[in-house]
Amino acid sequence: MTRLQWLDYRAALGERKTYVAAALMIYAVLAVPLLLAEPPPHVREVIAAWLADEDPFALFMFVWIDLVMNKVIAFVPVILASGVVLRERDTRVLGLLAAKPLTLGRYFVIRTVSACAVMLTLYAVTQVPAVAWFHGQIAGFRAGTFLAAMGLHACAAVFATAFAATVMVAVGRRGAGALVAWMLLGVMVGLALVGFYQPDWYALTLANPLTLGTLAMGNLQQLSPAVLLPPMLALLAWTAVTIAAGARLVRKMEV
Amino acid sequence: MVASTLDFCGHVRREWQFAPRRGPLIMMLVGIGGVVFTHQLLPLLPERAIGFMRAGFALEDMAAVLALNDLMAVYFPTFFVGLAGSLGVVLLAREEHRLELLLAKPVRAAALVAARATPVLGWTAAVGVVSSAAMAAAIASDSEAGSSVTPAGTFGSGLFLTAVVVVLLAALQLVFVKIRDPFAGLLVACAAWFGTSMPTAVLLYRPDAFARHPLALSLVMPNLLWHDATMAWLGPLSLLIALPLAVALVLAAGAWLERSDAL
Repeated sequence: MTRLQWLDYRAALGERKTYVAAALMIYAVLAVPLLLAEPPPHVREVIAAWLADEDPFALFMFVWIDLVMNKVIAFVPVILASGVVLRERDTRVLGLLAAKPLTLGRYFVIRTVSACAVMLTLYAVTQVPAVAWFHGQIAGFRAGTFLAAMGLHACAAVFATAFAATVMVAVGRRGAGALVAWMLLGVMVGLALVGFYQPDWYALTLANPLTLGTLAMGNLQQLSPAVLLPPMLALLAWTAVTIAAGARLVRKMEV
Repeated sequence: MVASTLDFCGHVRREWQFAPRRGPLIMMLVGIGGVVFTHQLLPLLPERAIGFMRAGFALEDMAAVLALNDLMAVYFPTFFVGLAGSLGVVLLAREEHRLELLLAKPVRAAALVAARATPVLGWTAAVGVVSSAAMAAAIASDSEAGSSVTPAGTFGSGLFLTAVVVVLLAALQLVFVKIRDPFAGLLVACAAWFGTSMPTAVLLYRPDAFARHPLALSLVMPNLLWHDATMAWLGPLSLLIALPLAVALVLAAGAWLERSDAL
């Protein structure tokens, strides 16, 4: 199983879509400092008020998470996960796989974990080198805080990938499944930061897993394991439950 | 016995009969739901959040803020329902080894691709028109929010965006006939969608960039609301022009497929 998981991850990593996704994320890394070179005063004031933090680094983190990485986790996970099991069924190789000593549920878990691992790898190969670039471009950039915040956000990306894979098998058709996954992730991303705009709704928005991935933003001055670990654990639990639900659904699929 | 062949319109009618309807019908409801949700949610946000959007996008009043968010409720579902359908025209058929079978029919590849893409584009336009109508109705019923935008203008803005989506999806078929991997096609399509949204984000964070290039302001979404009276007639006209243009683009995509060895 471990060997199969490793081989599947390597195969997923070598696909063209992974390279295209990495190129898009690297483009975002290069472009964002240009976008933030001269933010207008009303943007600086409002974001400082929302995050209760006047540091220019807080403005950068808001733009990086809201404008870039939240959009990435609305789209890239669907593309990484939209072929899980359904592609094998549509290309008529699922019957062959079903004849192997591997249940369909377990096969779904392997494929989904690979997609999640590819998503994590994309984060690692774009966010870690980004530190060197941002350090020279963003005033007051703090590498440790950035990496810690993005570590939490990566957990949300992993959840989004597992969620997309489960939605795909629940819908049962690739085009329609991708559409539903996009819509649901789009709504979750759209509402992820509403708690910052309207503090009365903050507690309610914690039910949204993608909000949990952004919680570092409100605590950039004192980011600590106590702040990061609870949402990370909650996101890992969400991910495990989502993959388990997908594995259960896929068993009912007609080969 | 030789079976009689259909003309292009006959092919389109035949494909229209088999085109999936459930997705577009659901997305029409999603578009309407998005508009209703926007009109319920935004008035509950603090004045600071509304002021941020007004200042950032140079909008005069709350009605324009609502209309801008409504436009996203039109643009997002319309593009993605069209994209989901567009994948089935060539990309998924090729991956599932059905394309060779389809091209073995006594019909030219250009006509086949256009006949399969036209119902998808038609349903996409229908989703956009219904969502735009919902937006206009919502603006009309929310007259206290302001008068900088009118129902006719916002309806026209929605139709203009629908026209952009229809042409963009048709142009993407030119790329799809050359791509083998549907996932790469999805990524290219998402990048194209982001490309059209990017100037609006730049307006929010770098308005100074437009001072040097004022013509670039025509690429931002609030521009549709700044020219409300013009959009009342330009929107419907754009959609009328976009439909035959889109058919020409998918015919060109089919002709390109015919000449390629990427089957």
